[in-house]
Amino acid sequence: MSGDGIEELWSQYGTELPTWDTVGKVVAARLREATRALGILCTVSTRPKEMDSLLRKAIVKGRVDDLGAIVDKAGARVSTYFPEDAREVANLIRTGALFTVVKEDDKVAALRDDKIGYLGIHFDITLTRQDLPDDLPDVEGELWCEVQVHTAAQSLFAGVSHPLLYKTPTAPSPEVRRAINRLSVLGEIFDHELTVARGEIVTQAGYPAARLMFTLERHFLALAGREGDPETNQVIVDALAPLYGDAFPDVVEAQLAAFVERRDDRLRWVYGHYADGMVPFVLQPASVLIFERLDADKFAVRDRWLEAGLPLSILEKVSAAWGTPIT
Amino acid sequence: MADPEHSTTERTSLDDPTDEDEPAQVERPAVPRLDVGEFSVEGVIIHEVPERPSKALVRAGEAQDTEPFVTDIECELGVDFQHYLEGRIATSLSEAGFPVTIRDDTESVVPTLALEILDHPPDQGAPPPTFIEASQTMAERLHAAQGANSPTGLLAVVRGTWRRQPFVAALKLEKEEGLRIEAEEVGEHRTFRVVVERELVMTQNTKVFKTGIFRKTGQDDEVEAWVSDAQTYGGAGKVAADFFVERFLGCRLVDQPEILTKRFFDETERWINRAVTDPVEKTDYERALITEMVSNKAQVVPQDFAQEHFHGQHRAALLAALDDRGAPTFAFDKDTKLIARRLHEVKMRFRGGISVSIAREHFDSGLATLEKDTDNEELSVLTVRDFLERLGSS
Repeated sequence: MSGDGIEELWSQYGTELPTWDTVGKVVAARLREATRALGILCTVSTRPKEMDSLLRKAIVKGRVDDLGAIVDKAGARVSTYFPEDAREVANLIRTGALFTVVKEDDKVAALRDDKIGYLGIHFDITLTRQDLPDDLPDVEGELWCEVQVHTAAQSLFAGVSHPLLYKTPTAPSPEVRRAINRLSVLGEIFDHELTVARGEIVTQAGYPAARLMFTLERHFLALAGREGDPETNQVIVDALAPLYGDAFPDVVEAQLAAFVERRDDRLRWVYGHYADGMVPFVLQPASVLIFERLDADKFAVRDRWLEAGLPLSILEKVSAAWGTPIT
Repeated sequence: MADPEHSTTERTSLDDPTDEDEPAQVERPAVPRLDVGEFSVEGVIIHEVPERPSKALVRAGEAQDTEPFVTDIECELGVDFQHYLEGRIATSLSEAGFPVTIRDDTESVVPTLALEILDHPPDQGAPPPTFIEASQTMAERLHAAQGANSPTGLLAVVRGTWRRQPFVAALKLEKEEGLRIEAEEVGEHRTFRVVVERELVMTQNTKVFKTGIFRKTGQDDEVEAWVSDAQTYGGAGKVAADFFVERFLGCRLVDQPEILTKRFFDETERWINRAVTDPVEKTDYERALITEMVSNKAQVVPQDFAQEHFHGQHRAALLAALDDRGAPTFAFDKDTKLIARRLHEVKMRFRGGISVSIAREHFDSGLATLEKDTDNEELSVLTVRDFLERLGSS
C-alpha cells in the first residue's frame, strides 16, 4: 500500500464529494416523491460517505487504487413505521422505475430462520450522468448509491448496534456481542406486534369508518405531503360517510381513488394555496371526502352537515375554497 | 313579422325533450361554464364611492355633487383578508354570476382599463404599472354611472389569478359589519386599512356585493367576463343593475334572456321526463317548472330552483344535466316569449299510444289529476272528474 495512493484517493474523493452528495440527494428526492405518491408514511435521509470512513474502507478492503469499486459513496435510507410499508418500498425499488437496481441484499434471506440480527433490505443502484446537474465534478466509475430500506425498529437497532459492535476502542467480548445482537429480536417482536395489531383492527366493529380514514390519510399524504388530526377527521367522516349509503366502504374507496385521479390537479392546487391553514378543515385528510361529495352533490353535503350539527360557516368556507360554494 | 309564440323553432312538450332517440350531444353552442375554483388574490385597492345627490337638487343649487375618495396604494393583504376575498368572489359568482361580453360600442373606459391590467403582469410582487391609476379611474366611472339612489359604497379593485390565468375584478362593497375599513395615511400615500372581523367572517354574513370580473382565458387574447349582483339576486328585478353591467363595466349579456329561458325550460323538462320515474314526483317537478316560468319573478336562479323544488339526489342531477346539455346553471333574466304557448298545456303520451293534452289550469283546479296506481306503482292513473258534455269521433 503506497502513501501516494492514499494521498491520491483522499484528494480525488475530496474533489468528487459534491457529486456524491448530489447523487444521494437525487435518489432521496425520487424516493420521497414515489413514497408520497403511494401514501406511505416514512422518512428518507441521505448523506455521502465521510472522507475518513471511505479511507478506512479502502484500506481494509485493499481498494486504495480503485475508488470506483466502492459502491456506497452515496447512501439513502428509507425508514417506515410498518413492516408492510417497508416491503412496499422495496417492491417499488425493484421495479426499476426510479433508478437502475444492480444488486439487492435482503438480510432476512441471508439470516434464514436460525440466526438473528439486522433485517433491512439494501440495494446497490446507479444513476446516469443525465440525472445530475452539468456543473458537478466528474467521478470515477458508475454513479453508485446504496439504498437501505428498513422499519423504524430495524433502524433503531442498526443505529445503536453498529457503533457498539464496530466502533469501540476495543472489540467487545463474545458475550457482549451476543447481548447486542439479541436486541434485534426486540425489533422483530415490535414489528410483528404492529402487524398483528393492524390486522386485528380491520376485524373490529367500526372498521369501515377506520378503513375510510386510512384511505383518506393515504390520499392526503400523497397530495399534500402532510398528516392531519385524527379527532377532527373522525368528526368529518362520521358526518359525511352516511352519504355513501350501502356502498361503504369498498365502492367508496374506488370512488375516492377515481376522484383523486380525476381531480389531482385541483386538489394539489388547493392544498398548496391554502397551506397556511387559515381555512378550517382544508388541511385535513377528510377534506378529500368533503371535496368528492361536493362534486357529487353539494346539496346533500349541506343537508348532512346540518344534520350532523356542524357549523355551516365552516362548510361555506371549505366549499368556496374547493370552488363549489354551497350557497 | 313572425310571431315568436308560433315560431317553427318552438317544440311541444311531447317532442324533443322526451325523444329517446335524440343523440346526447347538443349541436347548438353551449352557454359558458362557470368554474369558480382556484381563485388567488394577489392585490387589492379600495376607493370610496359616495352617494350622489339628485341632479334636480344639484341644478337647484341645493346640493353639490360628490366625488370619490380615491386612495393611491394597495391595501395590506394579510392571509385572512386574501382568503376572505377569494371566498367571497367565488361565492358571489357561484350564487348569482352570469356571463357577459364587452360591448363594442361602450363609452365606459372600464373594459380598456381591465385589459390593460391583464396585459401587464405584476412586477416582482409590485402591482402592475397601470393598476392603481386604472382603479382610480374605475372609481370615478362607477361614481358617474350610478344613480342618485345608490348608497355610499366601496369599490375594491382586485387582481390575481383565477384558474391560473390573470383576472381583475371590480367589487362594489357596502360598508357593513364583517369588514372594518379605516382610512389611513402611509407616508405620503393614503389607503384603507382593512380589518377582517374573524368571527363575523366565519359566518359569511357579509353580502351585498356587485362583482364584475374579467379573466384571460389563456387562448390567444381572449377575455371572459362575468357579473354577479347580490343586490338584485332573487328579487323581482333583473339579474343585475343596468348601471353596473352596461354603464360601468361596458358589457352586455352573452345570450338573450328568451334564449336562456327556453334552453332552461327545454332541458329541465327533458330531464324530468327521462330521469324521474315516479309519476307523482314527475308531475310535481313539471308543475314547479311551470310555476317558475309563469311567476312574476324577473329572473331564474337554477340552483335555487333545484334546491327549493327537487328532492334528494335530483337536485344535483338536474344541475349536472343542465350543465351537460349546455343549458344555463347560472342566474338569468327570464323571458318566456319563445315558450309561452307551452306554458298553458300539459301534454302526456302513454306507452299504450294514448296522447292527451290538458290545460294546466285543470290540474291546478283539481279537475284533472295524475296519480300512481295503488296496485302497481309503475302505472299512472289519469283522472278527469267532470260532467261529460260531448263525445264524438275525431
